[in-house]
Amino acid sequence: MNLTDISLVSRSGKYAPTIEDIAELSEVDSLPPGGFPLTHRMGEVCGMAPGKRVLVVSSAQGDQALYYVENFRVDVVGIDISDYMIGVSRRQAFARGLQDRATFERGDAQALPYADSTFDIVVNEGAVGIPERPIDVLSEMVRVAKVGGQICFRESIWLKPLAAEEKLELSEHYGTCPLEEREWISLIESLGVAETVSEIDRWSKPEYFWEVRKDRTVQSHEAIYSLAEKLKVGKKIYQRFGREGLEQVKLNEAVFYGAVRDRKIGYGMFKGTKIVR
Amino acid sequence: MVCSRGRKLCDDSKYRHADLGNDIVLIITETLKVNPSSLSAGTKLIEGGLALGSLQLIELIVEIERRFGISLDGELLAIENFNTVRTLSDTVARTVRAQ
Repeated sequence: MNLTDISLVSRSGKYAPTIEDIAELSEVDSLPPGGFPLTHRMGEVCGMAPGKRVLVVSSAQGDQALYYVENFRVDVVGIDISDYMIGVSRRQAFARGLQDRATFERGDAQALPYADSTFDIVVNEGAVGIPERPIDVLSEMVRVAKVGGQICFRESIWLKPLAAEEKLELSEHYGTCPLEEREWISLIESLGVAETVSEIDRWSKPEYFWEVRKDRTVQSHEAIYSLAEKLKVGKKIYQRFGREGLEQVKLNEAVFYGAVRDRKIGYGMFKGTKIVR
Repeated sequence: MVCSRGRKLCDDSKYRHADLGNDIVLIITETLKVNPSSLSAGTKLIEGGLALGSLQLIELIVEIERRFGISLDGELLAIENFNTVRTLSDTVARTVRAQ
């Protein structure tokens, strides 16, 4: 597949606040789709083990990074663009006594502040598709991995063929850019990654899109946030976007979760081995 | 009379809790287009009663904040504060005094 055939879309932001915007505005410590079960699976397929040095790109509040330390006994560096997220991550690490094995630093996923071939394993849990050009994130992940090291990420995918116009519309509601499974594979293989594997069906079940809370189980997307949390984030939306913003959120949720139930949008994990310097 | 001049009116010593309760009822009727005759202090706002959704509650909160010149944040957004017209009035009264 030629990279020019990949259906990258350029979002205009016309449906802000998007699903991704709400997750960020809420400041709720939620997990990406697939939750910890997918985090665990990523650790397994990457061969995480004591002594391995792992970079978690866009580490958010540090949940996955700390999960890897506690469950696979690896040494982890988490990097995120948000000072708030880094602060939360460091506090979590100290609270759990993991500060010697999990460090968190502020940095840009598209310009990682590390030398080439630094890490045994580089993972990204749901943030590759947020920038307009996911290849910029992936190329940095590959660059800082050692030759023979593992590159692993989880991302949204198009589960069935859709017209370009529908992809763009859904991406605008979602706030991120899914790709087809073969497109994600082509992207990472174009960067010098081989032995690529992917897991899609298991992680594309609709419930994985709302079972994203650390503190409780969730039975439907309407229950991801409690009413008190909805009021808190709703006030922020109202102040920033007005009543139209609240209406837009309702529409975005209806369209997005409809696409999840219709098996248009799914979720998957991709892993490959860096073969070139 | 709605507390349309915000804190100034609310701070008036003649402005009593009962007035505030009436103002809350008026704000609900104006903001959410609810029939005033269907409202009393005991009317439930969320479950049963008016069965307000989160969008309507947000509109109501923003309007109350604007008219009373207060900010309802953090623990003040606990659901129990929005159970009935009375609990909402009590919450606003406490917040007006505190802020």
